Amino acid sequence: MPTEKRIRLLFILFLILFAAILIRLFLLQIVQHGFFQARSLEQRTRIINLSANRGDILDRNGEILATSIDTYSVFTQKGGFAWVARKLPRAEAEELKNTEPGRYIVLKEKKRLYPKGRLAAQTIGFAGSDNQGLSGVELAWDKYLKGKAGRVVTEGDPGGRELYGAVREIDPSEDGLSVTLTIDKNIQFIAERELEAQIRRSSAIDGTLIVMNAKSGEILALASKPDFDPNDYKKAVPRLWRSRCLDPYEPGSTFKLITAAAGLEEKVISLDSKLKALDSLEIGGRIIKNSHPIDWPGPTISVSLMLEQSINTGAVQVGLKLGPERFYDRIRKFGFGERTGFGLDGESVGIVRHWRRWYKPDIAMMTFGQSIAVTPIQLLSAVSAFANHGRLAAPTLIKKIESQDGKFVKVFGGESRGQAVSDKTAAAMKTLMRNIVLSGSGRRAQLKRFSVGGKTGTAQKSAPGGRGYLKGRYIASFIGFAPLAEPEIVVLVIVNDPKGSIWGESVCGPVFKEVVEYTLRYLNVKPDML
Amino acid sequence: MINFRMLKLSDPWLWFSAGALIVIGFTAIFSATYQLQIKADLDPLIFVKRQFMSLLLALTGLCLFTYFDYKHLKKAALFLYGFTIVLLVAILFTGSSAAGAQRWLQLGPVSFQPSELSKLTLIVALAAFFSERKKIQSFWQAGYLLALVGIPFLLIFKQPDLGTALVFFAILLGLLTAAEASPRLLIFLVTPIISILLRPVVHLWLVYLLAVALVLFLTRARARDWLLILGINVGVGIALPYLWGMLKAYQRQRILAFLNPAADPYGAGYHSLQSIIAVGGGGFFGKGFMHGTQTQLQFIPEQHSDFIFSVMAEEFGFLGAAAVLALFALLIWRALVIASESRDTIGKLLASGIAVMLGFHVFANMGMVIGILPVVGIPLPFMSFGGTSLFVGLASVGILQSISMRRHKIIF
Repeated sequence: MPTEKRIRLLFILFLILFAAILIRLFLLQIVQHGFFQARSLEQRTRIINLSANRGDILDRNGEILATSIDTYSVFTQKGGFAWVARKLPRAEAEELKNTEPGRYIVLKEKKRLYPKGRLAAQTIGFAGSDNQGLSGVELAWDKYLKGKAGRVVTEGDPGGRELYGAVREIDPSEDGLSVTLTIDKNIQFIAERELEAQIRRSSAIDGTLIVMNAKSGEILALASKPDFDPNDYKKAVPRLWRSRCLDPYEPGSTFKLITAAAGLEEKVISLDSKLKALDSLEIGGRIIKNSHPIDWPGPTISVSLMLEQSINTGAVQVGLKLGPERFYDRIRKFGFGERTGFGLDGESVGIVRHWRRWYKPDIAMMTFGQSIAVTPIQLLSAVSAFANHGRLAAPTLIKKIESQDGKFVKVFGGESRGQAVSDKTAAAMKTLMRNIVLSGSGRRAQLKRFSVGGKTGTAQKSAPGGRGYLKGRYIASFIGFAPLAEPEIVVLVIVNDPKGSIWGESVCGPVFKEVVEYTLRYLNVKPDML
Repeated sequence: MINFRMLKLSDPWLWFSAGALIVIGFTAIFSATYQLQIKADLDPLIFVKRQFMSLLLALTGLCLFTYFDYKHLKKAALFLYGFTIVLLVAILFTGSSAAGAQRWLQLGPVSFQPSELSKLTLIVALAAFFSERKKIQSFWQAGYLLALVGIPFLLIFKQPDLGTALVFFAILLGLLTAAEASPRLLIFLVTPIISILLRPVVHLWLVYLLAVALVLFLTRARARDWLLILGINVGVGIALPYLWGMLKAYQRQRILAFLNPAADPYGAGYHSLQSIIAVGGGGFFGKGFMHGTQTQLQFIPEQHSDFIFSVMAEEFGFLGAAAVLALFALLIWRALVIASESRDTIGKLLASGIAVMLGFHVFANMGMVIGILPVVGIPLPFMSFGGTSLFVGLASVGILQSISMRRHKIIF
């Protein structure tokens, strides 16, 4: 017979075993509860990132220049996370997934699309594969375009399923704002077409063409060639990503407008002043010559003739009358040496040295736009003063930013960069610029039905490193506005390193003419000449 | 043979504890499966319904075993044993598998686990064997005993079902203890197992050998016992590294994961780790019914079956877990009381064997859930989802009550 003793032994044995269980429960559930509570919370917490939709980029009439579309990416987690293919159409992604069931996972991703292709490529720029702005407006206005990514903190199981009703925290994503540019896609198209054609005809390296509203400073076209397709930006040389209008160049004779205006404003010259007719003159040991032989009408020339014929020695005389300090102050008043902040990142300030650090010949060189570097945008803004009663238009590329539901809107533009010269000087400059086009070097820019004011430029290209000039290498340009009485648009055309004919008049004048004519008609501007 | 006056002699605490555990078990199964089924767009009550059908079958078994005199079991012992062996052999050919082990046998509309049944039939067979022989006297008898345990043991090991094989060993030890086997024999059987477990940590094993020697010294063991007992322990300790070296790499890896789940938290150790987090996260009062995050988010696979205790511990906290443990303690206590109050050997042995089986299940299962024992498939009696386990649990209660009711000679 089994004894009481043995049965009691079994009972005691189980009491000990159960006590061990109880002690362990006590340790886990009471002593170490906090630790396991945290572990449990940590491993069930799921953070779902909510990506924000990137805002669109539109032209001034609401045409879509950049938008985001749904694409499908394939990744695998076997042996660690790795992308297999990104941003495919849905059908392709599904097909890829089905090649090896269970291995690939399809994820919906946004992809940036530039429906107009190369149009205004450097201006619009592009966004990278994670929807981050990398260049152009996409970069400069990324803060608004990208929106705010949100997240949901929830509780989920190891398989990624969510616990019903367990959302602990919602931080909603905010879609990016859409950015409306001042660019008009039609004007942009014409500008690019004409510029590209001229670059090809001249076998030039590159070129820039800007059309700006003379009063508001709104940039209607900002062309830079050669360009690239932002849908396929990786295939392009990175150098092409950057708009040429951001970079400084020596403006050459177009800068004589600034010299003349400074002289008029400072009253060292008037429209009736006479300048000496000189083939060359020496200053600080440097011989200044005219770029071409002049058929002198007599021993003196008028200020108007100096500009019409683009006579360097005449411009130098104006500069010398001004002296470094006043000339420098006027240059700064025209906004040179400071960024316009028109709306793209990476804008150069140009190179405008303080007059105390000028070498002796510098003042002479500057009067015809050498030894000074400006950006095309700066020059455009400066010349707009003549079209605008002396006030500098503030160039702007951005018309407005607004939320996609239209609740938030911020409108840009309408500011001025200050008064560069008096109304009287501006009016005089208009007359002078009109003369250049009527009877001077700007004749190729004449329009039949619109009065035009403008100035050519044929700058010597400075050598890399800034020492001296490259022989036979020029930057041809033309700047002007129309119609003369109340100018609508200011246009600058720059062609870098044209071959054959190198003159601003012949290389850029016709381009200017085509673009201005098209734009004024397109804008329904009333012709002022019959 | 039975009337309702006899039922008054049945053990009320046993009814209470078993009943309460079943109700708690249903609650936990409901909590472990309801949300999950909804998420999978399946019938949310399917597990509860299926367990309820099993309960009806198990209650039938309970009634039968309570009604019939337990002494009939002794006569039927060999038949039941033989029937179980047939089922265990059949399963090797036709059984359906789950989690890599063949365990289920389909008989008409019912599928069941012969290995669960075999636990009870082994108790009956061993109790019948020991009730006839006070001592194992001949080699023949020892061989018979070895075969009795060894045949189902090997069949189950082949499935493989390590948990049930361990239960067999516990039942054998328990019945040997109850059947007044000599302490030397028990020590001879138990100590090598502990040697195997401690051998990997050599200094711990050496301390253990010293402790065994100390026990032998204090009990004034004879030289033969010293030789046998220390001999088998040292022998096992020396042979183990060689046996280990003979194993294939994957076999070693399995055994290592089995011994130390924390070494591989996302592989073999995942189950254990998640279960501990569930238990620890429960705290004193628990996270509330249907609010256990580990449970509801299904961090623990098979939570409604072998890991059902983690549901209790997480959702009802230390209070709930301790209450369940207390109910089991009550049940084991009553089973052993019934054993000691039984008027014949077969009754004492049956009740002891059942107590040991249930007690070992509780310890092994809870020990696995709270991470002090390796993860082996041993269900928690009365609570784990699974029909055969529930049937065996209630049949056990039936046998115990049958013994309890018949503890006095003549009452009518």
